[in-house]
Amino acid sequence: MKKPAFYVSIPPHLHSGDSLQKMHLETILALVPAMFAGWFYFGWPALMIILISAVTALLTEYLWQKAIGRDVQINDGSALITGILLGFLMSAGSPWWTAIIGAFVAILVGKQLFGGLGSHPFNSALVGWTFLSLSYKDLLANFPTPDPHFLLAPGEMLSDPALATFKGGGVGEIIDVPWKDLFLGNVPGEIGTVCVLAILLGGAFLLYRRRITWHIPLSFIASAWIFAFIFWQIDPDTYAPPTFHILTGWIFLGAFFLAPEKGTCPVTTPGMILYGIGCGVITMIIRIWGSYVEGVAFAILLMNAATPLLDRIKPRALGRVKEIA
Amino acid sequence: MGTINFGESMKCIKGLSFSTGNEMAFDPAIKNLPIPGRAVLPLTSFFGKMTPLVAAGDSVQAGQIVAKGPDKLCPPLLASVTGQISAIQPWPTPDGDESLSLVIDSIEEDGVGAEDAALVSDGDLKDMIRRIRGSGIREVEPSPWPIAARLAQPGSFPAGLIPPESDLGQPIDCLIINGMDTQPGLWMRKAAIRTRGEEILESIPLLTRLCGASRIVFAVPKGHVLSDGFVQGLRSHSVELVYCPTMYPLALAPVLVPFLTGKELPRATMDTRSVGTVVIDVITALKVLEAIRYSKPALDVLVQITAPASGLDTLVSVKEGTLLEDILKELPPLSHKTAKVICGGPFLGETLYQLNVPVTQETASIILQSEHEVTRYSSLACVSCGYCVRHCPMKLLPNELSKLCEYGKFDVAERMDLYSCIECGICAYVCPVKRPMVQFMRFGKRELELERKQL
Repeated sequence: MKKPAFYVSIPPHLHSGDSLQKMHLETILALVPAMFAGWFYFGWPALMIILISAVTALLTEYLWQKAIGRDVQINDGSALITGILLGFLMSAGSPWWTAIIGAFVAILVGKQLFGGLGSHPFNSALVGWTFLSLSYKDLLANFPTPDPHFLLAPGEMLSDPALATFKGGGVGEIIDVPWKDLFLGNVPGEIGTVCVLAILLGGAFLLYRRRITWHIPLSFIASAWIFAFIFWQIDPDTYAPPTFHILTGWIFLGAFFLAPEKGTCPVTTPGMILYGIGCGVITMIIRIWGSYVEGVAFAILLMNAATPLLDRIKPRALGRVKEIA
Repeated sequence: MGTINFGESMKCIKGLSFSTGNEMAFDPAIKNLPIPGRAVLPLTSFFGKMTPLVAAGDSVQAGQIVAKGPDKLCPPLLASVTGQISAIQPWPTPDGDESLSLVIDSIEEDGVGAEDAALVSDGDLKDMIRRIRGSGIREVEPSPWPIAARLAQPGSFPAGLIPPESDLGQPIDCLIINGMDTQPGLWMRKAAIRTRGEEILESIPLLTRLCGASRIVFAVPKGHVLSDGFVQGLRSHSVELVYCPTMYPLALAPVLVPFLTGKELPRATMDTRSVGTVVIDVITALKVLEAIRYSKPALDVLVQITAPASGLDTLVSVKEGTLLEDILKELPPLSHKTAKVICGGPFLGETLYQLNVPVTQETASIILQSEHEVTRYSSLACVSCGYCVRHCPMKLLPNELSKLCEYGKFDVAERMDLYSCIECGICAYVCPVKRPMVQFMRFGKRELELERKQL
């Protein structure tokens, strides 16, 4: 057959030039400050955990796609992000093989079994983490004391993550922890979650590049703060100050990186705001009354499940309804 | 993307912000091409198939009516050149399809001479409407009614021609003269405002008289520099001058009318007359002026020919029916090999598979892309990133719609307002997965139509 002279296609004939690779590369760039913070406070073991997790994630995706005869799409970068995020959610003192198991479950169960990128209903990194935390709770709870490489003196106020200390000992134990330490991440905790400053830098970059919108992060953090503020007002001796709550734990990482994961969060404005509020409120409910120390993971997973429902709340389409002839 | 506060019901618009670049970058000079040796006039229009009134072998004069539309509303087809009908045969059309066409071998002779271009008096409304109808004006943007029927206030249009269920009997409150180009990269209307501002001003009282609107809006893109004389002229005709954001697809009627009047159009038909509004672009306004003042039929077509890789971006004026290959012969040779030919603009245009396609009044732009400019779509799954939702000017969920159409759930897609989609193509433009969004939407609409026909 004669080769046609010109390409024929449906409109439009221009493209923004955006791609999944670019989108995910920018997300990875946004994760670099938090990665640096993890190394800064917890040294090379922290980077090791992230590396193991990332490599396992990529390998799992590659092998699975090969095995079921799909096009291998590890170069789109999504598995790498999942791997890095899972590493962020682990302590630098975790055994190395837990990272392998976590990343394997995250990619296989959290993502590929549902059909791969775009089809998974739950944040895959959180699926991996949930599996680990339910299976190896004590192994993961080995938190090294931060040892900053330069500039800062080691934060020695706490020997356990701030939230766990609060859960065990009440407000009195944490009231003296300077917020500066919490903000800079000079406290024990998971690799990528401790340094709020680094996460904010990455988040600001994503917002600037319009990879995420302000709706989910703002409504998440604000609703958590307000919820904590109400109870703190009721009884400041039992409930921790709201600013302590949002500066500790995973709230910032959750708000900027975990909750707005593409495909698992709503896309409409009202949907995103309700989703963020749901994440914030459920996080605080788990933190205040739940048996778990940190509520962000389960809050996001629960709201992931509500995403299809929240996407029903959409703005009215332009165009009056008139019987179509 | 961006938002702008405007009006009461239309709080913000969504779409694609684009820079118009350097305002002086384009060269508004129009290259007039000679009368072609052959003109091909497709016997199709927005309003249906046309019936030829001539046979092969007949001689025709430029301006002579050679075909009539399916109903009396439809403007007639005029011969654009003087010559002989050599054949009535299928020929590729500018929408990428094929249709029965009149092939006219032209004779070098200027049929419509200078003496015809004499000023004639306006006459009464019915007279003016008759002249617009007779001039064979067709427009670039699809519209449910031809311009003569749209512009006519109740009573001035022959009542027998108006479909009883239509909104054409309603009075007109608002006349929007659209000086904005429909798509990024096109600047034909801006050039017309700059070079033919006087005539545009001259057309405004005529249009106002025709439609009887109390509010007249002239919409131009923000940043477009208008001459003081033009602005004063608009003021003297008590025209509201509105600088609109340079945002695609604001210049399209389904978005422009709600933006300027706060009234939404009915979906699917997008009939502006149902909200008492008429939208006319400046190029059509000039054709209307010529039809009324000079009884001049619309035989010439203004086309912007763009070949980005070769740095070609020029306006040419040709007789309707001139073949694209004949036009390209008159232009400087391209420095790149053409890989894709797009007729009708980068976002709304259709692709042509060959160059022997006639240029018609519906054609506004021809783009010749080189190999590396051609975009490629992918068959990957939607990742629900939501970029399309952020940009959709009709406030739809294109991600959901594309998935529903992809998986054959057309009835659900219809409930999710598929028919509000104007196929502007922004969703496909921003999609990081490069999904063929417009194709999904068209597929869905087509399947629904077929379903409805079967019932």
